Amino acid sequence: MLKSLSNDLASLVAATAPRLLHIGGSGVSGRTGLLWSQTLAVTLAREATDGEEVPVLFSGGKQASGQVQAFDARTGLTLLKVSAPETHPWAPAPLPAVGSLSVAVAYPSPGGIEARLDLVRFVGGSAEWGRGGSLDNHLQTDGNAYHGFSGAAVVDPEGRLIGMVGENRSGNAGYIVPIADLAGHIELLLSKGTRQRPYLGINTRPSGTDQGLALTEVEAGSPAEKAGWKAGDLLLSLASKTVTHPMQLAREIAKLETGVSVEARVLRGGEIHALAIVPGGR
Amino acid sequence: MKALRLYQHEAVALKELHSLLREALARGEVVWVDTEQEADLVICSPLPSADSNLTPREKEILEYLADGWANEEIADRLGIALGTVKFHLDGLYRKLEVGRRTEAVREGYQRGLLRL
Repeated sequence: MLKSLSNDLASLVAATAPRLLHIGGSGVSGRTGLLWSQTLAVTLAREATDGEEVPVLFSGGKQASGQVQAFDARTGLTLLKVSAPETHPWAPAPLPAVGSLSVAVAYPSPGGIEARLDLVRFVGGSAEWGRGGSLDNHLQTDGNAYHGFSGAAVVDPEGRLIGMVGENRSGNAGYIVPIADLAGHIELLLSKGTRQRPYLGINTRPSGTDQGLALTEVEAGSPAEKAGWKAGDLLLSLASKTVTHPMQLAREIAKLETGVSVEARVLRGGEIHALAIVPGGR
Repeated sequence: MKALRLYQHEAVALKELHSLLREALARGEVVWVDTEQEADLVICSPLPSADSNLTPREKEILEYLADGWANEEIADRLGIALGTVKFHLDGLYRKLEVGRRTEAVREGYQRGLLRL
């Protein structure tokens, strides 16, 4: 029984490998990418610029170069234009049950494919993804954070794609972007193009009271300055949400759309001013 | 920058406090309670950033920490050795009086060191 399990797992990894690619060159942290189609690969990155060329390696050993097609600064989701030697479409898996087994298959270095056997640890409702992104389902396995596993494929025992290894602040330990969420985000990114992270250009400190954040700096030429915000103002609310702590404000800003004006209330000289702001991107 | 600080041991008549606050607000100054300064009430304009004496490199690395970057990724991005990143992290932790990166980020926000 153990022998047959072992053989099955090895076949599962071998069947998944041709759908992966290694991303990265010398001096760049290696990552795994999923071949989404013959011309599109998906991975996670900290930053990427449209049109940027990245070295890629297909699992058959063919070296090539991929071109950044779109990048979502909130989640790190990156789409690369590639020309893969062959196509092996993914079969999507249903959301797995807690306690079921999954295998993460990665291509972290040119040296070869790596695999990790995991137990599905948690399946839940909506979750945050990166800074300002969201998932319909929170999926976690008990997998360790191995180097280069970001972007790895997570498959069920039938070889169907459960999702992609994602990241949280402490690395890629067991955070999975479910296939349905992944497909939705890819479609959105393809249609809307690169998304920058919303930016206001302020430094804030807690005001010491239970309402508002004090603006300690307003960057010259920033969206905040253009909105008429000044150092010394107390920011009371942004996009109709009361702000009380800089980290909470950071989360609210992350959810905004760049270029779309939002309501803001600012306390200055004992009076409340409505000074709407148009978040910039960075 | 002029700041007026009121401490607990200073007896201020309610009437006096009232007029102080009115005048400050009329001048567009900020009034807040600052526990870090050990004052009960501080009136000044504009509110100061807490100067933590971070080097430009430490500030830069703090921004990367807030974005969840790993040490290896920061080293790659800045084109410096991993050991050098760790050296800067040590300095950052010491100045912010923290022991971990998540605490450094929280403290960075708390002190107004991270730009939003």
